[in-house]
Amino acid sequence: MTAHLRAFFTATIAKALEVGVATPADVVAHATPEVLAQHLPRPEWTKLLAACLGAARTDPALVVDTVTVPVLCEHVPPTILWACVAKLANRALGRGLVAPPPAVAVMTPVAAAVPVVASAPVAAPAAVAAPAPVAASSSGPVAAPARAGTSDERTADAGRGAPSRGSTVDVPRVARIPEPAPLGDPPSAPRAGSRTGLGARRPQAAAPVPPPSRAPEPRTSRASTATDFEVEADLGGWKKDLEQVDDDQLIDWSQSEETVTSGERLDRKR
Amino acid sequence: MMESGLTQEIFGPADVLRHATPEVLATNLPPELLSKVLASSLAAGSMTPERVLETVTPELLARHLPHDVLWECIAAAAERAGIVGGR
Repeated sequence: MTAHLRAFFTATIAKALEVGVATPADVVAHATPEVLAQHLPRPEWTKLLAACLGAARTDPALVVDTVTVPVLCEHVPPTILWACVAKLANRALGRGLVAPPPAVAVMTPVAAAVPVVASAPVAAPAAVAAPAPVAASSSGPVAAPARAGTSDERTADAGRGAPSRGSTVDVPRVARIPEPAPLGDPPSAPRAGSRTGLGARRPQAAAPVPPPSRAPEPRTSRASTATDFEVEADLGGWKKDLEQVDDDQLIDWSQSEETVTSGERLDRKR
Repeated sequence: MMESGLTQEIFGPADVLRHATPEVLATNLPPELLSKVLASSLAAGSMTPERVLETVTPELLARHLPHDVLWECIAAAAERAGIVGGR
């Protein structure tokens, strides 16, 4: 280890201990007894054992105070010292316990991304906006396609009653979440006659659903003719008339004068 | 002999470490033993002669420490016990 590197580690760790960024336990967590046993000279071990045996309490502070930071940095390998410094820095910067932002918010299908987006405002509102730009910028054109859809599109689909998209069930939850910063236009060229940007779409009101119409008859391979259409229309009217007939309108054919074919009155007429 | 003296309380751990000084231990014990001694002391919160000898057993003492040091320990204990008179 060069003198410059040793001086750097010495100053860094000593200052960290001085200002409270690090504790002796942090140092001993890397400069473990095993590391010390391998790299510390025996005279230093003599001092350390003597101090430990003479002290009422043996703790990392005693070890660091006895060995001293310059001696530690002189003998402990730089990789171990760097690991210690890096851990201290990450912790001081608040990165030690925070997981990297998930990239699934944009890349994964909507159904999988919904729980992440929905739970974020409750836990850490500031973390919601951060992952999206990172994921969008890192994924580039791949993340841009509107396969996942914007929230406006999902809302519109829900209004139209689109049943088959997996995100339809959870769409209201997503729609209530305030949108993060606008992502900008997609990289693909806008469609002709459509709106210029997806972010500019306004929420659409649910259109009244028309009564279900009768599904068209499956077409046969035979060419259709005019008679086919007429037969089909007549059947429809016939069915409609059947449904509207009441019981009072039914005729008892066995007693009707128009339909009786035998009896006295009929014979008298004849 | 070291184990028997400790078991029979002819001498105790503190008597052993009075001769097996930190310098002797640091000079003669292998690194893995030094590491165990310090680690166990840090875990327990103190380094006592009893704890040192729990790690550095009499067998290990006899294996790594100079025998004249161990003999001085035994001789001093015998002198304290008053059994050294007939030289």
